[in-house]
Amino acid sequence: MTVIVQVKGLEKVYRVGRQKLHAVKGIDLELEQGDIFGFIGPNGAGKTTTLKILATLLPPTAGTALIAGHDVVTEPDAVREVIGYMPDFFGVYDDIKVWEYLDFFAAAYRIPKARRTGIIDDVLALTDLTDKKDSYVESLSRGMKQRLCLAKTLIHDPKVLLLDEPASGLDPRARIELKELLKELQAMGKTIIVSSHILPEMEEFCNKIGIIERGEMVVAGEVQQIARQIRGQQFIEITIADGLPIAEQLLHNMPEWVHSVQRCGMESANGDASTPPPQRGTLRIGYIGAPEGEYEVLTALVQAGVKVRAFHPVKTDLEDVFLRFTKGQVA
Amino acid sequence: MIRNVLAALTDQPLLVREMRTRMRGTRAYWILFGYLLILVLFVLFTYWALLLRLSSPTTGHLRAAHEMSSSIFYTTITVQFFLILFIIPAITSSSIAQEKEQQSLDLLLTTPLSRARIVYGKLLSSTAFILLMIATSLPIVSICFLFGGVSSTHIATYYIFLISFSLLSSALGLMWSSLAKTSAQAAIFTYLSAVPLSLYSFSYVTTYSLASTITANEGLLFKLALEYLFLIAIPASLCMNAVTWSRLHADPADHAGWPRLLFLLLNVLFIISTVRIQVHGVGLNMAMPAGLGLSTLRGLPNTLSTSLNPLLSEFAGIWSSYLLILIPCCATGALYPEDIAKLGFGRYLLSGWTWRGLRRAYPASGIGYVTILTLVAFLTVFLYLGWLHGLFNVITAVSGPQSVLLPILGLTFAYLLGLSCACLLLSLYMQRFAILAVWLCFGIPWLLPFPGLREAVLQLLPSYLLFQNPRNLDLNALFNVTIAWVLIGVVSLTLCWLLLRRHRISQKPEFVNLSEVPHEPTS
Repeated sequence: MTVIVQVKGLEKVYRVGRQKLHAVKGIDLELEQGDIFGFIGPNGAGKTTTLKILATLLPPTAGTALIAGHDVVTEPDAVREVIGYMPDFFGVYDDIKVWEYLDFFAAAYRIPKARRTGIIDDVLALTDLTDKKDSYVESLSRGMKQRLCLAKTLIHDPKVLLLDEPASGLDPRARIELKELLKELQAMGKTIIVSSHILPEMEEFCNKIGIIERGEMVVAGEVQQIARQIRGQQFIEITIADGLPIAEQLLHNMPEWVHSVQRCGMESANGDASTPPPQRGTLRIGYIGAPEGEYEVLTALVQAGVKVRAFHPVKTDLEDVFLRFTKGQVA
Repeated sequence: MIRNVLAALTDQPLLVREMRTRMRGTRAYWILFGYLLILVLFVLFTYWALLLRLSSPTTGHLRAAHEMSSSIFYTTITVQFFLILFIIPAITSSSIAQEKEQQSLDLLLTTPLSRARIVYGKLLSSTAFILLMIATSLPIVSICFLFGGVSSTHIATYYIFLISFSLLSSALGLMWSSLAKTSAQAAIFTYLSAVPLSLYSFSYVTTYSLASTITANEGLLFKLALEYLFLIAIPASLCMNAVTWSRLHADPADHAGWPRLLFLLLNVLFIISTVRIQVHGVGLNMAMPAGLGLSTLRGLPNTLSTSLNPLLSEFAGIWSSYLLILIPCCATGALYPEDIAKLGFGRYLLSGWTWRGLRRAYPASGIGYVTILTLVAFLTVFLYLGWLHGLFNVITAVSGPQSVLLPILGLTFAYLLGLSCACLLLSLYMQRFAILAVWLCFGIPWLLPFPGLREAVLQLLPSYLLFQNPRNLDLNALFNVTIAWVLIGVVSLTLCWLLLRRHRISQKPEFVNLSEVPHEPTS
């Protein structure tokens, strides 16, 4: 596979009045053709800035970024040919029809007149907007506008797609439709960089993710790899009908399997003698043993007379990765 | 090659899009309707007013008809000029700023459309609409043919002039549109800066049209239109488009070289046109019978001793309007603390004079550039004319004839230093809006309420001295103004140095702690 996106030590400093704002502090990134890279971070972490630099809209303060071998600073025109950029907020022009809007961008991308009609029909079909071809752009719903913008982004068949929060502000249905669309693009072999602060969306179709916080890439790599990295601390939720204190004590005494014990959905015991400790509740344990060891834990609990209502491992997802690697700070 | 050029000219996606949307709906038609209605009303009023006046039997019929036709013609032209002056900024100042507001500019800028084509697409689409407006007014103007007295050369001339002016002000609106953040801001700045520009254009036209009326030379009039188009409208709009072009780049400061070089071109052409106006004006003054000269127009006594006055005041007016437009454009530039930190203040100022500094838009390079520009203008126009007309020999009661050449040169240098340093100081804080600030500084003194204060402030402008009769030029006043400008320069340079030093020290830490930067809380 060929490397298509190569970012080295990318930095961006904004001047806000007389202050400096270090929005991006040295990001490194390497993507191969066909990669779907999920760019995750809280609001204000530097995602949009990074994408704008890649889209040749902002000059980086330091570092280099190459897309398909072209430098975004010295060869912006060549870069613009191969990228499709969809900003997080975008406007559409007034008094213009859907096909005219696409025709304008097709002309801007130097697609010959004869081929434009066919291409416009294709991208409209891909984004499921065919029956809106003659509608005015401002009459479209938010989700449709988003898809129209994506259609515009696809019109010159770019190799690299830069999508900045494509799902923000969409209703659940539009969100699912967008996800389907991205999967289709993935199947077409595009390299996609998609930023989001909503994790579950990304998990399904990204093969690589990067978590950015305060302008720094906290963790980056393949989804499986990162999941494996944190697999060491899997969580198991145990719902107990009776015998909570016994269970807690028992679990604390199993350091070879259980890393931590936490009560979920209730206040922790405050040691007040007047109120008896609750007998029922849910425990969340950090499990560090082999998968087979889970039975041992359950058996131990049952043998100690704890009435276990439910015992299930919590699926490790990006949400956990995110919580683990970020501290909730924003730039 | 030719096919490529043709393709580049005809394939204007932006123009196609803007034309599609502009004529859609009723708005464009309402604008046209209102514009034509106002024109028609003015023509009607002129007609009625003239009918009343002409009912007296003393004037011959043919003459009356001619008079009426030329009155109608001049009314239409003037009204049209001012209508266009008001409509163009409304159309052009929103064209880029609105895309910024709607956040559609990023989409446009990531397409491979070159920046130059974006600028020209925008310019063409707005001038196309203006051309439509000008064309729709032709039937109204053609009423004049009914009465005779206005030739087709006249009409063609004024239409060329109108088109040139609309090109110029479209470019101005577009420039502000790219500089300002919102379209409202852009509109305000465009209107404010269109005033000196239109005054210059209008005085240009009236000078020549008067000259051609008096000398009955239509060729002169036609020359006017072409001269205005090629010497003023096209170069000036090129300069402004270059500014717009540089603002569309990811790093505008890195593309400042072209606008500045084009300003040099404009400067040269401006000098040519100014000198030509003077030459025609001089010829006019000599050829005309007493009481009909430009001086009468200005309500000044037309005696031999003051015959130079109107000429020089005309020149001074043009010269100061030129300074007004050019200096701030060059002297301001974005300031880069990193550059200062790297180079140090002294070297920062010095390196600004190099080509690299010019391209990188160091404010200092702007100063150097302005100095050169203004010197060229000053030396050619002022010294040439002054020498030609013996301005530099002042007869004072005490010491007899005395040369003022040296004091005037001293004043010019002091003026350049002072103004450039003041511009640098302004650019530290206001950056691009320093342009407007300086323009306003020039405009405001004329509006000051107290005559004494107004006089005192106005005396600071060297062009003001030229309004005085050169024979009574006060050398002491000249000296005082020179000293004042030197002081202004020194003070603003010192202030700059102090501010930049503080700036540099406060920027020393590598990274600002981001948690200290105010931010919006996230939920």
